Amino acid sequence: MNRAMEIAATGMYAQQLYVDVLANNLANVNTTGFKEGDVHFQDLIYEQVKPQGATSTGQAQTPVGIEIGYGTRPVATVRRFSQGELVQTDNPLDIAINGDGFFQVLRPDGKVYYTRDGSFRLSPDGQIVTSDGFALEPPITVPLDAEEISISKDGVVRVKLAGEVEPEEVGQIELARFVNPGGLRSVGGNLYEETVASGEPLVGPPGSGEMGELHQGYLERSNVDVVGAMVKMIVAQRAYEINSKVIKTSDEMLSTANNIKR
Amino acid sequence: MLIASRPFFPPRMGKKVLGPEEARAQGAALSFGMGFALSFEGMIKGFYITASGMLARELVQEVLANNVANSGTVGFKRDRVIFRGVLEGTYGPEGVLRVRTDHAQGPLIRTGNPLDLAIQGRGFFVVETPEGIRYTRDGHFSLDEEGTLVTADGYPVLGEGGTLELDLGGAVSFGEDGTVKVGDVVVGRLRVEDFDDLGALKKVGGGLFAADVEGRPAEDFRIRQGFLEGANVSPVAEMVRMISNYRAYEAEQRALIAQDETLRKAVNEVGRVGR
Repeated sequence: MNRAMEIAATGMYAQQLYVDVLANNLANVNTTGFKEGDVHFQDLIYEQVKPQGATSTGQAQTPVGIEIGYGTRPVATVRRFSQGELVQTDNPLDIAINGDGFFQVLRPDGKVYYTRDGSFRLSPDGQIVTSDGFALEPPITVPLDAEEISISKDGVVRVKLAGEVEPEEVGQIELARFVNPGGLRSVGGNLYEETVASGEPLVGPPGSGEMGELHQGYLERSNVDVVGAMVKMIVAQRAYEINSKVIKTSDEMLSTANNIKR
Repeated sequence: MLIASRPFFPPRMGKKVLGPEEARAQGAALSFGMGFALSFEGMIKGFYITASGMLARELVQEVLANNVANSGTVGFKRDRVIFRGVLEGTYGPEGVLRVRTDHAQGPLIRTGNPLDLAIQGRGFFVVETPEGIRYTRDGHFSLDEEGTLVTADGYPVLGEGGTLELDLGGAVSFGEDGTVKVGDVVVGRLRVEDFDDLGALKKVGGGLFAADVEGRPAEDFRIRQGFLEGANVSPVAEMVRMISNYRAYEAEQRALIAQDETLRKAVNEVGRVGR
């Protein structure tokens, strides 16, 4: 009997987690390059109260048994890596990826992290860095007397120096792609870390294959679907409520059983 | 074994308002009781039979709780309870009910994720696990680090020629018949299997079913890419079942009290002369 309460409690916990993930999605609705998360649930193990094929009266075997499930469990929080909308900013160092690739950035700990957030700046010594000051990998330095920066769709960075007509090539942006982007670990700050599940990054220039093209002067918005998130939140709330009703009913049943002996 | 005599069974038992399922269970209980008509022992057995009913109701509550807890689980199939008569000589809920999985179609939910698949119609995806072949309706797939199509738990999803390697540098698309294409090249076909008797499938958790018989290729299905199949649990219907189950439980409790009362009278008042 207490099992029914515990089963319903797993349901309440699952819905709670779902709302947590939805809250994070909605909080990040204006975060550049944010990818919305979702929770995936599975049913828990089943207890066989009576196995299939058990002998009933005489020699007959029961074709179906009694299995009682133990509720639900969250198995994964998955990110949906669909393309976000591109918005024009006209900032020459805002770059959006239209495809599956990620920018590579080098954090001070010496490790390369991956991001979809292409709002870059120049550091005091002319290096292209993220808003947090992490250098783009491979590093690209823009001469301090550059008047114009142009980034082609395939990632070639050119600058026009003062007094010169022909733009000069200063570097090539390279992107990384993952076989299983869902396996990337989010470390915050719009950055992802490679894991065993994501596989090794496949590095290459933009514009080739699935990597995607770069768009200078654009940023990728979050791919959070606000209306969808609201609907999911309502569903989660109702499911939470109904699971609590199960607990209440189970409690009333226990109380009824208690009242047999007066 | 049955003695044709007037059943000395708790009088209130036959009078309470019963649902059809319960009436059947009680009908069987009554015929059982007749075997011990007019005996003190029969009275005690009445307790056990009523208690069996209550224990069965508790199991039903657990089944309903599991259905409700999994109302958000992709590919989940609700369990339904079938009441049957008490078998001769058996007590306990095992004699009263059976649990069967209701394999009705769940609603299709659009996700837009290219590796989310739903089966519309009959059939199951075939999954390779360390314990052997398992079947599932949960089409929330992804690629592992080697590019193999796997379930959320990382078990390979089988195509007709074994596992499916899909990281070949192109968009993956699934046809309605399960044909898998990367770009414009057909690379395989999903194995979708069906069973003549769905009762042969046993839930093993994690959205998986095990079968002790071989599946046959499914015929009547359509693969929908970018969709997932929701649980086929209707919260309203489960709520209604829970209320009626609870009321039946209450009624059985009353029956137990009534029997206790009768027994008390038999022990304390029968045979008392005068007053």
